[in-house]
Amino acid sequence: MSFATDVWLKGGDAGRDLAAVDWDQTPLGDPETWPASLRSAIRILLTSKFSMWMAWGPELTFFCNDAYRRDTLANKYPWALGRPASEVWAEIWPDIGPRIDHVLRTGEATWDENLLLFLERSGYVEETYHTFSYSPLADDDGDIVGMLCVVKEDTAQVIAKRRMGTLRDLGARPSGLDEAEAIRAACQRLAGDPQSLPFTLVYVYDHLGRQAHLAGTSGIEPGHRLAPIVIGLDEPRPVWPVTSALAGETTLADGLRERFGDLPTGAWQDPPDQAFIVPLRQPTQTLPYGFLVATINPYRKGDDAFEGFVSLLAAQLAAIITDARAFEFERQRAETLAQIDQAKTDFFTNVSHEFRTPLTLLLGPTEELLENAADPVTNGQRARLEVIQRNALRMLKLVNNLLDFSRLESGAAVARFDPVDLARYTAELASMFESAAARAGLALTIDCQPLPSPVYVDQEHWAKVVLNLVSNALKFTFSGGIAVRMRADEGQVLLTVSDSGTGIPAHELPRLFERFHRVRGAAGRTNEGSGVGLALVAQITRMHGGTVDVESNPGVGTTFFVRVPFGHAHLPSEQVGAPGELVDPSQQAQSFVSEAMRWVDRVPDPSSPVDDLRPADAPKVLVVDDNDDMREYTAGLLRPTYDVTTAVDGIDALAKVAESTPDLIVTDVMMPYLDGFGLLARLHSEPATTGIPVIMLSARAGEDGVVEGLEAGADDYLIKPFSARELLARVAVNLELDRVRRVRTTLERSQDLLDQAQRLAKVGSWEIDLQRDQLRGSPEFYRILEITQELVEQHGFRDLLGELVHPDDLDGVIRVLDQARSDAVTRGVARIRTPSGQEKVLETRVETGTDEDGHDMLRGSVQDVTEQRRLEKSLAESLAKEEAAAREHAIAEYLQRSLLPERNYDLERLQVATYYRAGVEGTEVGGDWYDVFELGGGRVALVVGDVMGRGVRAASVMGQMRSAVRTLGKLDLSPGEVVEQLDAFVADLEGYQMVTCVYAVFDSIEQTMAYANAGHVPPIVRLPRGDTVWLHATAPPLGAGATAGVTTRQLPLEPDTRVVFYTDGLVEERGQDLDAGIRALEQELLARADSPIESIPEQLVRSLRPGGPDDDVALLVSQVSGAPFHAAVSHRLMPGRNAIADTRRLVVDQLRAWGLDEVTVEDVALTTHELVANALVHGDPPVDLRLVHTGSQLLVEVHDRSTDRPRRRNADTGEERGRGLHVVASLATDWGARVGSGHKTVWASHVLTPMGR
Amino acid sequence: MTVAEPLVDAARQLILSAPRLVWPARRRFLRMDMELRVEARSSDECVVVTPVGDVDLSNVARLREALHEQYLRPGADVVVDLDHVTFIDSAGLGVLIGARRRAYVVHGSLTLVCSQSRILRIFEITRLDRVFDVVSKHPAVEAR
Repeated sequence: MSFATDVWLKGGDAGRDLAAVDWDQTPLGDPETWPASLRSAIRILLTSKFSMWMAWGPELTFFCNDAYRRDTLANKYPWALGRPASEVWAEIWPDIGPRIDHVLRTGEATWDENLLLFLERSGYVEETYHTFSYSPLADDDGDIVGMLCVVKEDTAQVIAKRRMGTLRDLGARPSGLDEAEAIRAACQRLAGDPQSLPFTLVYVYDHLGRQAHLAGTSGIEPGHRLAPIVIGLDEPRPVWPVTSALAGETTLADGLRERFGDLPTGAWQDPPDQAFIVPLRQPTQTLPYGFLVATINPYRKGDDAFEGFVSLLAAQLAAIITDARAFEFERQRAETLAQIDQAKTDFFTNVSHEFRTPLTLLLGPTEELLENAADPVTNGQRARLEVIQRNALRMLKLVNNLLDFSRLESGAAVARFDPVDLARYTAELASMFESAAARAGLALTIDCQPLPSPVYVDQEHWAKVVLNLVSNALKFTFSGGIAVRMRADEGQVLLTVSDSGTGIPAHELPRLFERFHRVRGAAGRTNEGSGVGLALVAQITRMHGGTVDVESNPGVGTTFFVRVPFGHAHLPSEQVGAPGELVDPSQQAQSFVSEAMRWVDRVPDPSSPVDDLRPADAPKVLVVDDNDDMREYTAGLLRPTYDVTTAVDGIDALAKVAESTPDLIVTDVMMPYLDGFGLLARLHSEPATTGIPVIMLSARAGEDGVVEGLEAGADDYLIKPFSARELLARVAVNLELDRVRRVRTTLERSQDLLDQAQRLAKVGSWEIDLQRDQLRGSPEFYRILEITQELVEQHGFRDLLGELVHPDDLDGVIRVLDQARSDAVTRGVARIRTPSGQEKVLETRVETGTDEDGHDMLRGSVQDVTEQRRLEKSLAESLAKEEAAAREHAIAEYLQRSLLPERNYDLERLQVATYYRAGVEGTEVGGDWYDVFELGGGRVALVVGDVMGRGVRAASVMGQMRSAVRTLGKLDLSPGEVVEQLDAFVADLEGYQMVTCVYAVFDSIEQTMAYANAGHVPPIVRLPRGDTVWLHATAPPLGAGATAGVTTRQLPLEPDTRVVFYTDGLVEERGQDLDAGIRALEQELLARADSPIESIPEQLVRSLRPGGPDDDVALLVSQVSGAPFHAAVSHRLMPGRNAIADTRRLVVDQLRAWGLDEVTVEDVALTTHELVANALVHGDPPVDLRLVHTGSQLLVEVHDRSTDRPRRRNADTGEERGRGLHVVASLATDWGARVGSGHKTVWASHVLTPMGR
Repeated sequence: MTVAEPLVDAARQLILSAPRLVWPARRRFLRMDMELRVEARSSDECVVVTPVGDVDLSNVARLREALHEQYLRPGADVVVDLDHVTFIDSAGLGVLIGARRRAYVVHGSLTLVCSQSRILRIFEITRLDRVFDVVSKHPAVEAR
């Protein structure tokens, strides 16, 4: 065996190309003379799938295998074969030459991993990495004369790893940097990979989008001519494409070297020549933040992988900018909030200060008056002065609290921390509340154990902590008790104040210690309070280096925990004092305790002095207020004029109202238990109390408060502070209004009753004063005639009568009026036309009489008998209507039948039986239809559908649908496309239409059925084996407007397969699952496997609808008949000059072989030729031809890969081209094109005359 | 003078002034191969162009060139003898239509001679029998 056949032929392409080398021109000479060792080395090389090359002989002649060619050699193949290795790899010879030399000299193998080599194999110098080993090759004498290189190229891995590293570095970003810092830090990371990115630039657009500013660079100095600091968007020739980047486009800039000359080179010797410009997209905005310019390593191409890498870099940079901006936004927000908070504190401090002066001037003189023994005030005056004093004190306390708080918060308060026996001091403070607790029926437990050492506290402040917590507990506790405990706990003092009170909802706890925060809806003894107390506690505790916590369970109770450290190491040394006297707490506690006493002491004063001057039937007024002073003040003002009772809150008020209904209520808005609005709502919900006028008093100033109160149904609304005169005036006005309203209501009610009775009977009464010629009517009288009293007075009733009464009836009416007598009622019926154009039939009754002044009167009534007459009439009409309906039914059914196709079909390989029946009598004809039509090319369309609705309209829509389906079908659209087009068609129909439809195409040659089902009941396929398949909906019903991208399904149909298409009338039964009906149909179909197809529809209807169908039924049964004679040949057109002629000859031979007559042969040959020529000229290869002889017709199909539909043009007589399809259309019986995804088939069929067969 | 005539004149000038480099006049056998051979033979009255074989898309250029060459001459009267054509497709018909237009432009004429019913049928099908002067016999052809 020769060397050539033995080795070269087994070596794939490389073997073949090596065989073609002119070896005589090489030092190795004729291959047949080569030593056995060389041959075996070549054999190993060529048969290996691993990438290898070898060199042999004095010039180290180059050999390689297919794998090496593919992985490494690229453009150098096959040039390299048989050349000296030093020539093949000239560009890396300085790298590999010494290694090869070493192998040849020493016989030792070399090993290099990921060695960087710059290869020139693809038309440019390329950065590549290789792992390879050189091993020695010995000749037959054992001398080393060559080397074998086994190599694996790692370029892709090395570069991917490098890029991943850069991306990872960029992903790890420090937080808390502003935008400029963050971008600069990111660029520093990019600078860490000068191999992938010789240099980069990051530009950010200004907020107006007019300029791009350089925000960071790597590998290039800012200000370099490629790195301008600012690029205007209006620059005619910007260095970088700023506008396309703003539009979000990624662009590739080319020819940088030529355009800009000397450039930074990054890690390489040569500068980059290309750069990607990638927008930095904002997550939620259309405009990008800026863009990244990433230059491309000159030794790599800017391929998809690099673009992917750069777009990831851009995404990372965009995320960095997003983070930085979000951070900046948060920082600014926090600053703003702090400023607002400061402003608030300043404001309260100022306001509180301003209050103290007037308060002092109130308190001083009042105290003076009360205590002036020389000139004592009367008892009544004393009581009023005490009210002034108490409330001024309360206000002072609120102001002081606010001031304390502000001072503490702003750090203005200088505390002095003295060592104090805190247990004793605390117990003393708590005990101040003993009597108040006792009065409220609460147990006050004080358990303050002696502490190991004194505690450094500011006494005044600490007192506030204890007093606030205990009074707070008292405020919200109604039963059980309060416990104040103190003990040492883990190096701290722990004060707990617990109560068994109403508790605080969990969601309120986080904000409990916030300034001005008040727990909403809390049930307390009073609503009084500023919301500062607990904030003050927290602030003071913090000042002492301690903490305050709370635990609460609604309905169980609340415990506050205050922890303060021992010692004074945590306190500012200059504020730490020495042991001294305990401050007497009673002074400070006084205001807290007296306030608490007022809450618990809620018994209204029963001994209100009764003013005897008041009339006995004075209106009763109820005054409701939770503040004792306020309540007594208000009540006192009203007492001289009214019978006043008082209530302490809403609940109490309701009790008082139940005892004795007041004529008016004056109530406060803010009250515990049930506030003013609650009280109003409860009063309104009871019929007995809903009419009581209510005046609300509120401290909430402004329009809003008034509107809110009036909208809630208050009769009047007074804003505190109000003057005594204003209150008295409002009460008087509201009582008077109420009295007037009641009188009117009574009158109106009796009139209403009469009117209501007349309205129910549709009777209006009237009287005519004959002397004055005046008419008066009851409201129903005016309502019936649609006139008014004014109209009557304006026109006079006689003229009006002429206007209203039907001319034919006017004489009758006048006669009735003329004949009126006093002893009997005369009556008549007349038609009138009311001013609104309504025609009414009225019965009038009249009698005469006299009125109280002795005037002669005509009195009477009119009754609207229109309805009554209408009823009588409609009875007669309904009979006529029934007849009309029957007629319409007949028309619709006729329409329907005439639209459905005839029942005899002559189809290729398909038997079809159809059935249509309108619903049974009484219901109307619907829009069900079926259709069968031939598409040509041995294909038949089968359609069944249902137009929702009934009657002539549904039947006519059905007719439109049927022709639409036929038209679309004949266009040879796929079933999916037909359904899509139909959906658009239905949407265009007038009015809302809903249509379901199945469109199926049976292909007798392919033996398949393709279909699409738009929301229709599934056709059932019975396979010859007896299995069934349901063709479920593939799209929503037509007209639902959601039909897009409908897929065409396809299934094979063997001979004897039956398919039943039907409408829901066949399977739908009221109250029964539709699926159950379909399953019943399936069973019936299976049971009739042996019945002839013609009888199937009747049988199915009879067994499924024994009483005849209620609804329309359209039914179409098809069966594939056994395969008749048919033959087919396929031919793929081979490219080449003679393709067309060869094909023509093949067609002619085949047609003659089938025994067709010459005319047919020529026709079909020309048709085929034209179709093939069209496909070759306009289509995409490969072109396949198929000829099918079905016995009755001959089908030509030409298949290619383009999806452009061929169009037949009406070529005019001067036109040279475009006549092909004209020829086809003239010769063939039918022709068409089917377009599928990525291919199309153009077909033509020729019906064979009996002779032709 | 109709509107179209200046255009026709311009076209005529263009055609007549075209360099005659491609095909020298009066060359008897333009080209020969297995599928289609086109012969041209001139007499005093006219030129008879005879395609022999199948005329189809793949070789129709040959017939086109042969006919166009004839119409470089003003007033050329050309007779195309279709009786040796074994097959003609729509592309072939297109060439004849193009030739007819050229004939008009150069004030020449085009006459088709065809007595084969199957070829005539194609002209009938495409209604081109009404466009061309088709005769079953022609003295210039008989003289061959």
